[in-house]
Amino acid sequence: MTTQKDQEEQELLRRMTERLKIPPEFLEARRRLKEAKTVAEKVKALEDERRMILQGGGPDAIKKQHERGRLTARERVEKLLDHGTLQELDLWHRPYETGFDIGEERGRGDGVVVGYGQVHSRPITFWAQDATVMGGTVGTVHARKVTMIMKNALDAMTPVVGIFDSEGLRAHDVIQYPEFYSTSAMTYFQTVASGVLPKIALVMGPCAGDMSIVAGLSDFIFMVRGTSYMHLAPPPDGTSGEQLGDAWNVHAKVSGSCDVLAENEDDCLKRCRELLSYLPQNNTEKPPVVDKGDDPNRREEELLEIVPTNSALPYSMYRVISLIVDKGEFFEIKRYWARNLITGFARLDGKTVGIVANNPQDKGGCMNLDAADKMSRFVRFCDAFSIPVIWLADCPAFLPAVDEEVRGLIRHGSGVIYANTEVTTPQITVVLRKLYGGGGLAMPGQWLLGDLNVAWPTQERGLMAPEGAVSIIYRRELSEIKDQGERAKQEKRRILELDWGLDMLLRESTQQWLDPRDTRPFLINALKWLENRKEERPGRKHENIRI
Amino acid sequence: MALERVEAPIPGKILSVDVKVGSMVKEGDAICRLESMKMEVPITAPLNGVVKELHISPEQIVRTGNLLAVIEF
Repeated sequence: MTTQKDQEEQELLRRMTERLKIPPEFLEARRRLKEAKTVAEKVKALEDERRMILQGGGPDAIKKQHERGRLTARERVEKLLDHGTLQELDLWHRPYETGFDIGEERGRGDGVVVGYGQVHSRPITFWAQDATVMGGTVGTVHARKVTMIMKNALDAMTPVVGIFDSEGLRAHDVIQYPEFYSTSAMTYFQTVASGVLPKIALVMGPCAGDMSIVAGLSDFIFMVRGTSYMHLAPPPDGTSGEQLGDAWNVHAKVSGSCDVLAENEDDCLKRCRELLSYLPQNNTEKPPVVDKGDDPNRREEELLEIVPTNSALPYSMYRVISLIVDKGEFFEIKRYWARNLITGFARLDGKTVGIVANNPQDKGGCMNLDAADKMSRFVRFCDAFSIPVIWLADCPAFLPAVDEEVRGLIRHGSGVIYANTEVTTPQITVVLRKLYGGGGLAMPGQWLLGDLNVAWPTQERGLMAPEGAVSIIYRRELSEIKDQGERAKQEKRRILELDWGLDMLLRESTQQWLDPRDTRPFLINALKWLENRKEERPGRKHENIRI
Repeated sequence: MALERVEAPIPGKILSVDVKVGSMVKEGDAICRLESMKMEVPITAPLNGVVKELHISPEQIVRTGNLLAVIEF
């Protein structure tokens, strides 16, 4: 009789597993789990199953991923986290049945790896799309896993790193999305967590449509040269997604959507760890102090010679930064976009600072529309996460150009002044050389009720250069002089007069003149003074920055 | 081999051309210098490569977006 019962059970099981599309090896592991007599046996059966699930899309899919120059989701996460701290969640989740034959049995984890771990011994939350499982496409369970881990991160108040590598939405699955619990929920949590947790997107493969918005809502987007691409709308005829959303040609250089361009996958993960080392865990903490062993009183002879006294000549602002900060280490954000402005993180006496510097080697260091956007975004991040801002100024003005004005220089220019005004973390401007016109608002220091405004001896500043000022103030006087030689002489006299006059007034109004060699000790001492800076502003629902 | 276009980022006058067709350039090397807003603006190679084409000579006035050089990399 027992044999007949066994047969019935076998038949039932066969029909069930066929319907649920469970492969035989999984069925075997489950049967062992169910029938195990001891906990040790159960553990063993679970381990066998876990090993199989961790294979993702299987050896062929993994090989294909490697051939594309990409790592698998789990390989990436292991490299991102400190060794032995990876804890994956929702591993056993599979896609819902759709009624379409899209191979649910291969949908291990529904194409996404989620969990937590540590970077430099500090906890982070992560999710990583697994391209070996159905192309990493987003199904309902996939979306729910990502959403729930984002919610966990918001409750645990840890940074979130999302790794993007997905062909897009899985159409036959997401058609039955339960409304909000979809990519909408990802964008919701990305938005709600903005300014609360640092959010980093590592785009390491395709990232298209809704997912590009999820990435775009992060604080920083990393991309890998040559192997990652990102676009919102579908590519027009004759263009591929790779071309439309290329990391270098499009997002690093032109669109400005890429904050950090990595040369390869390892570089990307390494630099993500590096960036995290500058950032606090959330907006209630201060950034970590990392002692690199650099002398806070270090003076630099080279700084004395670096700025040419001929103010038409450029010099390397990167060199200036590297001489001032701890061990010359500078983590640059948006290096290849709007290069006339330099933004990035560094440390002074172990404490994170945000550096904003004009770059005299690009467009004369002028401010323009893209530079305005680059600065707004950066100082707002610094302000949200308790990071002091240091402006190193050498800015001739906002770029006078028709195309800039027509594209909305006012709209973007107001945005950056707004962002600068909103900063309540310590704010210091060091004027290295020029600061004319709107540049004064763009590199504000004390000028927008910040803290300090100090200058190197090479400083020139004002509303405009004396030549321009004379042509306006003395226009009538000069136009009334008929003789051309006389007029030129008078103009020259007026320029000299104004130059000296302005210079004397400037000398008296500047807060402090610095020996360039003392810049590092000066800044460290000033930041110590400002360490507990607190400033209350009127309450409001939220600001309305000009965008 | 791919080609990278180097375009004028702002309007100005060419002060000097610092490379020849066939010159090897490294990222950051000056290709030419522009004068704009009373500043000398070096135009640098965006990546390592070889200068394939040059479209400028000293004293020439260029406008934003004008092609200055092409680099093969």
